[in-house]
Amino acid sequence: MSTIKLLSSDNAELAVDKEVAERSILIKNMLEDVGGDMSDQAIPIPNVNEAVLRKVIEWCEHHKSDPPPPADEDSDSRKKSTDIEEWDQKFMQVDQEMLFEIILAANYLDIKPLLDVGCKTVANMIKGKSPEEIRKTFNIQNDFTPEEEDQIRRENEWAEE
Amino acid sequence: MPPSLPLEVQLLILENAAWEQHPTLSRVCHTWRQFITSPTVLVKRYTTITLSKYFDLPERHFERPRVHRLLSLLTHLRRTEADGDLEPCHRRPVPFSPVESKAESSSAESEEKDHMRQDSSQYLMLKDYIFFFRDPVIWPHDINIDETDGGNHSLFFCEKTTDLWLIPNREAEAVDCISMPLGSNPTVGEVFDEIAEAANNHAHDWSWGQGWGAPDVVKLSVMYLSDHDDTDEGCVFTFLLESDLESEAQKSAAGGCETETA
Repeated sequence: MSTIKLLSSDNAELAVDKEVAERSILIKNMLEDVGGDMSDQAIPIPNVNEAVLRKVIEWCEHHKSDPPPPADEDSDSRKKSTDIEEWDQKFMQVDQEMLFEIILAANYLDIKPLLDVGCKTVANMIKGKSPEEIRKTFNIQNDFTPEEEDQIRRENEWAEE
Repeated sequence: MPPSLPLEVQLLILENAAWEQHPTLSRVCHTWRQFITSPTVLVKRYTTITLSKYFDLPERHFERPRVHRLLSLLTHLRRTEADGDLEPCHRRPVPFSPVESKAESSSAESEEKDHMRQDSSQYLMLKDYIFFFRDPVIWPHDINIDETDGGNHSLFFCEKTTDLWLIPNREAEAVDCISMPLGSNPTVGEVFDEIAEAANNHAHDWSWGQGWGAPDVVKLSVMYLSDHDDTDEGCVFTFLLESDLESEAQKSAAGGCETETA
């Protein structure tokens, strides 16, 4: 089995099986573009540091034999928040910073199944949080005017209508 | 400080969020609110129901319509403290607690169990779900009015205490039913208004003396049907008066289930 090298944003060189690396559509396309021969040269992954890249590779190794994700973008299987495999649940038990970094790496490297698992994990994580707590989690500004907030509040007062 | 996620990833997270989270998520910012109310996310508030078939009916008439999940969540009627009127609500499930002897329980554990028992009797009132009231009851794309049968589809909401699927004669059941205009697709709010109004006006008349269990029990059944060839298909949701809580709790402990949805 051939091995390729990945170069993280902090200049760490990681060797990984080609089959594992090709879980990333970005890397797969790059290898195809150069004719599959990158044995003497590390592929730069400028947006992902070593720690995150190691986690991503760990996920890809565990899932290297998974069938390709369904092409149907509307497939229900992509949108259920409760169906995270046990292994993936444990894999995602990291702090929020690492979780978001993994999601960003999956998005950049085009690893849709990992991106889905990350998004499902975050969706579960924000259950029970208030809008203000969610804004803090995502670093989002509250762009509702006081009048709009008042209107939203009224929407929740049906019993008094 | 965690990195910020790009908008397309934020929207993927919203797609994966549970439908009960939608009211909260819609209050985060304009962009999230707009996305939560878009068809992409709206469809997550619907569940496919299993229909019973009395007769062979062509698939084109009923393609397993999707019904708003709130109808399967709000399974009880409860008298409001303000005016004593009945309104649909959701009772929290009785929490599971392992069997153990009293001698083994510490006072702290007893307090915890008392708290759980108290909590188990609480209701999630309708006002917690107002956000969903503008949603149609049936997923819009599932209503395909068929020109060949005159588009004679309808939603009926009938009160009774037995399973509608077992009753072949709908006419007998339709006397006091809550009905919506033929071919209409009412909003969740309109349906709950109808249910509440019917409960407040007719609950005392329902089912008494018909051999359908205790007089303080009312089940409201929702039936989706067609008049085509006089055939019916239906799904059943049940609503109980709160005075039946005790017997319902016993049933829950025995593994009973009140709501029949797929």
